[in-house]
Amino acid sequence: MRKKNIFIVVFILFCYNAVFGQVITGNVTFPARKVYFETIDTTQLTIWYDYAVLKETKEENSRASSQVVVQIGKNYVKSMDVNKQILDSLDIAFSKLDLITVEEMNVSLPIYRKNAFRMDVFYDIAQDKYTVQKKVYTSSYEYEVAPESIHNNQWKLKKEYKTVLGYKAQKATLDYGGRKWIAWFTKEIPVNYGPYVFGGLPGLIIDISDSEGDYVFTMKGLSKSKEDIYIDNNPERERISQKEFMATEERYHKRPDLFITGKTVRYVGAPPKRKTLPYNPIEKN
Amino acid sequence: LKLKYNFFIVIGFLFVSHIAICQGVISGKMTTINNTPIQRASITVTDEEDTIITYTFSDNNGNYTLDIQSELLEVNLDIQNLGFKSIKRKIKNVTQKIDFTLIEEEIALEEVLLRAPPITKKGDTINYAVSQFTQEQDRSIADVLKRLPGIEVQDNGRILYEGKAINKFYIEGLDLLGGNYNLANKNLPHKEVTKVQVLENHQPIKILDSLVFSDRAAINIKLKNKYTFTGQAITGLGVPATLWSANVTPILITPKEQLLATYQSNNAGDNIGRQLHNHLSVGNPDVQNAIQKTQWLGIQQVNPPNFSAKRWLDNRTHIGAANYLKKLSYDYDFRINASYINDDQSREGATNTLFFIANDTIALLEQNNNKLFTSRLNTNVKIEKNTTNNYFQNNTRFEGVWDSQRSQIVNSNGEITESHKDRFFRVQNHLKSLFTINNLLLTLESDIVFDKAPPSLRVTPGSFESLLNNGAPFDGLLQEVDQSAFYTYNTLKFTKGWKGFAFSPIAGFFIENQDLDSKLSLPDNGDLPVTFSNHLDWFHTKSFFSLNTRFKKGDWHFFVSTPINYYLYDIVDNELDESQEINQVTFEPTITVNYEFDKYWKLNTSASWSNQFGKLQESYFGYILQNYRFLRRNDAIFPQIKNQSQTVGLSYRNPLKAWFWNLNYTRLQGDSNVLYSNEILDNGAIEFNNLEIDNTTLSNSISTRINHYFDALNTNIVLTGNYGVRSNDQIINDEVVEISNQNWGFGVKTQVEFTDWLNVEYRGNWRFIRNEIAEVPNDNIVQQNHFFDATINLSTRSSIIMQSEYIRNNLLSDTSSNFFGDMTFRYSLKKKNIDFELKANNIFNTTNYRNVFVNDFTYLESSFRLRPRQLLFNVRFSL
Repeated sequence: MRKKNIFIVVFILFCYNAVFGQVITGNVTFPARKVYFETIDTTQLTIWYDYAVLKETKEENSRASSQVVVQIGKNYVKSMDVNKQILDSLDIAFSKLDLITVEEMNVSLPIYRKNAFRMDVFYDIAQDKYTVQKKVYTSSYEYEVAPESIHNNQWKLKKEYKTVLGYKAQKATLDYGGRKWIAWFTKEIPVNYGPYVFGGLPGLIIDISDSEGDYVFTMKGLSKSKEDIYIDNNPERERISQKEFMATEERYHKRPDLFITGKTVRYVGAPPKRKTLPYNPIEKN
Repeated sequence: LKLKYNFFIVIGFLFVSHIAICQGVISGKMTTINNTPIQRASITVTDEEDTIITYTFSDNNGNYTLDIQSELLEVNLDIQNLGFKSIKRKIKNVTQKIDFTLIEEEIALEEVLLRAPPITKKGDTINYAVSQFTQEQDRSIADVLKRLPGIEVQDNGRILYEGKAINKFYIEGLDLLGGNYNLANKNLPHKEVTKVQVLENHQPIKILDSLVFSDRAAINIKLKNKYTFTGQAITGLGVPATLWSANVTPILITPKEQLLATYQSNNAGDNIGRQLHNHLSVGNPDVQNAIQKTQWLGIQQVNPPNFSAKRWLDNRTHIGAANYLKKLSYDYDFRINASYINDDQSREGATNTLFFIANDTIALLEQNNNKLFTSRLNTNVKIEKNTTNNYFQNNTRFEGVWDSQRSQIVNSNGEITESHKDRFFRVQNHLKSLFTINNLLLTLESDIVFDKAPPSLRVTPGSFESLLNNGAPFDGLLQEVDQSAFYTYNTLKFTKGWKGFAFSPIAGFFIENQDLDSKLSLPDNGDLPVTFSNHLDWFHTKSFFSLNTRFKKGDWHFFVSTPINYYLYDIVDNELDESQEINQVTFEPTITVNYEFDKYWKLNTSASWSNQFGKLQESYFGYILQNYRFLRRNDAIFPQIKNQSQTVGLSYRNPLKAWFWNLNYTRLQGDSNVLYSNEILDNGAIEFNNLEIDNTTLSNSISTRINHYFDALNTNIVLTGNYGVRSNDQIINDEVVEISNQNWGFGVKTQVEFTDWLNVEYRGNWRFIRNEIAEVPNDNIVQQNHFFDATINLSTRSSIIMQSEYIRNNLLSDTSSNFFGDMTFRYSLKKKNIDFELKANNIFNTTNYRNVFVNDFTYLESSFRLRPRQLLFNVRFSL
């Protein structure tokens, strides 16, 4: 996978050079960011899902999509956006440079925007514990998914079956985080995990979505290649509770003006509806 | 399916228990062949049809327990764990203990190929579907724009994206309006628009696209149809007298051509002239600063209040604009913009000015009536080529001003009339080109400007009798000025990075050649001596080289600018036999250092040293009458101020807890070689002069702001505070006095969103001013204002907007307080694209506003006649 990433990066760089001819140093620079990635496991199985999300409830226009990769190791399971994977590999590559210039920024910015999943989710198998790393605006946070909300035993199996990617899958439903989830899992792939914090079914979740269709994961690929599973141990990341995180994230989406600048903006005569960012969290409560 | 290793199946199991009930609880342990427990392995119980009855997973110690709630006598067990061989067993449905030893096995799954990732967004472009953001009361695209996430439209019409001004406003990818984008924004019906695109990090010059990072965004308006003819029409009538408002704006958009024309007019206090304000900078900011129009002459004006113009603007405004863009061959775009404003304003008020001179105070009471007539024409012709390997732009502008102003003043000495004709004409050419030499991208900019300004001022009867007419009264004064100027400004720059540094060398030169002729005369009493006229030749050049260096290491960020400037001034007035010549090389560095302690705390500091030389209006030798009681000349040597400034700022930002705080301190020091001298005559007239005396102006200011958002109450509260003190010397009636001004300010602001349909806001400000002249304190001034606004949406068709404002000013001898209230009711016939709007402004009919302004050595108490209560009924049609 690392090779694949590097290939993608090289390809993107190549495209930029091809389009813009020569590369000349711009006048905006940043120091290279130090990276704190630590390898914690090796993948036994890697699953890719097509991921689609409705950023604002009932607004089909707010649909964003990307791919989520679930890396399954012996001790850890990690879910992340494939674009985040590329960004991380770029960060590693760039950390060896003295300065990040516009060239590098122009490589990473478009990829950054494609990142729709926007979080890294770790399942510590030994501790039976889910940890989420996610940013709100520019601040990085880490929280544990409250243990009581992990739902491993709450699934309702349905006697409905379908074949997905050649696997025989069974339907199961779950009430979790204020949404009704519908999952399809297959016993033919002997892992009891899935994307995000979903798991606890006797087989891989190959398709899961909520009843509104706001969040949709559809399995698209599987690989057995051995890759590093790493965690970002950036010391600036703040550890908070899930409740605190959700309140912060909600406030950011409700009042981005306050969040970004600490200032409010006055709109004379404007209707009371305030400028907000679309907000439709995967866990509503 | 291929296995590399041989493997053995070893199933160890123990078998205990015999219970007669056919519903068993099975339990046991899962281990590897080395007896290591296996965690999270699944145990599934199925029936004959392979239907899952129940399942569980082994715990951290490899133990499991499973209650088989089934009537079946026999069930199938399926033990699975990734990397181990699965086990399938048929067991009796009885309570029993079964342990399993799992054998490692290569994963026997077939790889599934990964599909190419779907394209989510196109680069940096965000598309907003306009229909999704529209509300019932919206008409123009401006109404929708201000609601889009991240976009903000300020009161003056400037558009911000994530707090920063946009750098372009395109319609279908073409820049028809430049900085006058409010013409489209306010007049283009949103129903014609399919998408608003925000182009983030937009670099308008394509050749710089991947080279020079832009933190600004642009807006592109995508229309539903390729060929669109649209626009709007508004007509309104109101009382008292006859108020009118009108707007006709046709807009034509096609792939090759764009056209927007508008005519608007009103006398209802609506400041439509704002639509002609340019919100984007044109050309080089240094040039714009150097060539600012000089206000040579003027009339004594009544200070308008510092609140919304709708309360006081007594106008009859007409504006017209035509904008046309055509795409030419070879990637060239041709654009022409023309706008004209004609405005007739009246202002009426009274001022009571107190001049504090040593041991005495002179009071001057003036009743003033202003007529301000504005007539201005602007045209701009632009040719641009903007491709990925070439950039060229040439702008030719013409600006014409034909303003007239008249004031009728009654003071204790009688009645005075001032009549001022302001005439100003400018032709300016701006050229910008980017090209490459040896892999270096060079930017060349060149500006050429010609100005002609022949303003005049007539004052009846004449003032400054003792100076001008041996103390005898006389009929009138005529001041004529004729200024012509030529400027050119040329720069060349590039940027190069080296080991963590970014170096930007820039070199350039500026040439300025001006002629100033002026003459003060007594039309009926003959000519005055030559000291009342100027024939000044002014020649100035500035050549410079600067190296800007940026460096960032860890949490430190450094910026150093090291310009070396060579200034030359050659100023000659042959008739007055005066001349000055300055040749000087200066070094004017700026250093900025920023440090981030952690993600909450940030420190920024800067220091700069600069030289400020006199401008033409500070260096002529003969008298010029600027208004009926202000006569100026400059006796001294050429003014030069050495400025130093230091700033320190500390900020704390914790979005998690919704706390924001900052503290800023600024110190400014100006060492000047000339001192201002004001000779205040008994009638309040001022003779102004510059004298060669070294002196220092010092100012210190500190400000702070704290902000917290209360989640539970949906309430945001902001508190602000500031303090400033400024001291300088001036000569007032031949005595050098130290003037010190102190200012305190406090503010509160809170916003509460009660429900979807009700939103209220309160703002309050207090200001305290303390002025000391020669260590003698004057009366303190206290000013406060309070705003309370509420918006109520009654239904999708109708809404009410209420605004109120309370102002209390402590004046020289008493206090004044004003209360204002406005209300707007809007109703729409959506199907016909017609709106009805009833606006009541100034419901309590507050017609007079009084305030105090504090200057160096004057207190100025003014009263201003406001617009009376008015009712305006508007009908709006979309074309």
